[in-house]
Amino acid sequence: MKKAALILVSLALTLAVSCAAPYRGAVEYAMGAEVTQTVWGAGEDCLKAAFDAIAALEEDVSYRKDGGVALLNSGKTVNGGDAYGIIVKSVELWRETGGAYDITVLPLVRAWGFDSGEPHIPAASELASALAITGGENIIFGADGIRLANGAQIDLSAAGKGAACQKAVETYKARGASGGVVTVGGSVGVFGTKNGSPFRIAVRSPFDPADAIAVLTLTDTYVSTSGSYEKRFFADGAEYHHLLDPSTGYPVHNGLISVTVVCGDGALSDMLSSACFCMGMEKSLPLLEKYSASALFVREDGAVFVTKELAPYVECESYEVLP
Amino acid sequence: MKTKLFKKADLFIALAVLITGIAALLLISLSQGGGRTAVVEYRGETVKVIDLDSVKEEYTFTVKGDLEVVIEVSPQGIRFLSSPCPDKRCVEFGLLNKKGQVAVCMPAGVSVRIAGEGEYDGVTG
Amino acid sequence: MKRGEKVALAGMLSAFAVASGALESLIPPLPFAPPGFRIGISNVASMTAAAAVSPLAAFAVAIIKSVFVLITRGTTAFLLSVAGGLVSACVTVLLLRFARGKVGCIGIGVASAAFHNLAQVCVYSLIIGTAAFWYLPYLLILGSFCGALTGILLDLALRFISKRDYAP
Repeated sequence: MKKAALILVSLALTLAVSCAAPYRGAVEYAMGAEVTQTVWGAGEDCLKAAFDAIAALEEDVSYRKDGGVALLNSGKTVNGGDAYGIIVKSVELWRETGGAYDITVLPLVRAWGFDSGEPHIPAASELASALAITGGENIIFGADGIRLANGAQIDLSAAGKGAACQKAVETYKARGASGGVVTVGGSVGVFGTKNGSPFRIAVRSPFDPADAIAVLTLTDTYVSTSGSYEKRFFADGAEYHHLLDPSTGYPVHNGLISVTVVCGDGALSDMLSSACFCMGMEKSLPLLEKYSASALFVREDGAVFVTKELAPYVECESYEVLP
Repeated sequence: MKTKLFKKADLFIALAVLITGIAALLLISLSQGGGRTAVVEYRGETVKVIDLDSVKEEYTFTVKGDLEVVIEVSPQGIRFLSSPCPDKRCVEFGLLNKKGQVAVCMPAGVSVRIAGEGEYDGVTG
Repeated sequence: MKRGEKVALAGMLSAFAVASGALESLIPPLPFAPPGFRIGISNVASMTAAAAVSPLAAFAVAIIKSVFVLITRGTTAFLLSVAGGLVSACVTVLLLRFARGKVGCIGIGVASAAFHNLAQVCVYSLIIGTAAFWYLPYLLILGSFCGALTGILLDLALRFISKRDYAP
């Protein structure tokens, strides 16, 4: 009896001690979104350093700040920096997608009022003049760096949150953490493990923000989602959302309601989710393959489709695996 | 042989039971992070997961179990608001707001519990 | 104790189990305990039957009590009652058989209560899923106190019976 009691007690204690307690940071704000961080095997200064890295990135990539993107939008030439790297990747993706992914959409975003929080249907003339200066060809690579031609304006918000996740994860790695999760808005970065087990990332249901439509079990990767349910408004009996088609200037309408992309590069996971939403499921598959990325698509009717690489890591009530 | 009121072995039995219980409770509440997630289940299937820390306004929803129960979510926590079951024990549980707390409506087959750091480590979308 | 006396005692214990079970379901729940939690006074009856009559009597008391629960409170309550009752009777019988003299009434009470809870949580989990097991820590902690209480009652009952020269 004595032995049994001893064994029970020591078992309980070992269980409690062997788990490195996670350190969970307070919710902070950057890139216009909530930032949450949890690390295993590291503490507060690790989270602080990671947040500082995100804040520094925001300075360079947000058109609202005074860094690289703001300089470009004011007509200057930029060479190097975080924004520079993302723009190079963006132009490549613009070519790959035949223009479906385009960072020169800022005039369109402004015309629709999605940057102000008071979205509205733009006047036809306003939309036409915004469309006229939209296009990746307006990003000019010169000997001294990048500049914008034709009055084009760029917006990296479809890449920034994913890039921010990568900044945080790089900090966790450098500081010797054993695991970490960072979320910046709808983008998530996972690194290492939590006491040996992988992370469980919920994909928010487009139909109920309090609910998950699927759960992904992942480690050492980045996840981003583009959903038309995020920012939308109703006008004249129709629904409009913030994911604009750069070729028409209007919200994309192809039956998709949300696309989640899993990719080893933070910015790319974010960029690809926007690109795939715009291109639709079929055309996205070769693109995803080229970037070694996988995806989960949710259709407006609630049907879920998953690429075959991702299928083993998906928990979902019912879904179809794509070829 | 006559059975006495108390023997030394009794102490070990009682301690083993008590310590197992306390250790399990401590494990649930301490080994997990600061977040609180409410998990609503019907016969073992997850019906709904709610991040309690991000709830800003009070709202209610119904769960169609074997009976239809109404659950209320607020920044303070989560509780069974009403249920057509005969004994109303689920409502008696009151507000759940600490990790490890459970409320059950047996006739409906619906349970609500507060999970520690959450079922999920992150949310995308 | 003669056979007739044994049967009479087992009958009285069954009646006590039924009555105390019914009474306990009427009193309001303990303020600090989850709803539905009970001290388990009726458990004293089957423990007394195991100690003073026979293992068979202990099982009989548990089953008779559960049948009463079936009639008054329905199938779910019956399943919970019969599982808890039989498993805890089993534990009592085994402790008396293999550790008589080494364990006291309080030890029997606590062990029997712990397994009563464990068995009920298992049945619970069949109905509502694994969420039921989250209950177990609370039940074990409260159960160790309430088990000690039923152990004291068991001691009183056995003293009462032995004074009457019924001791086995």
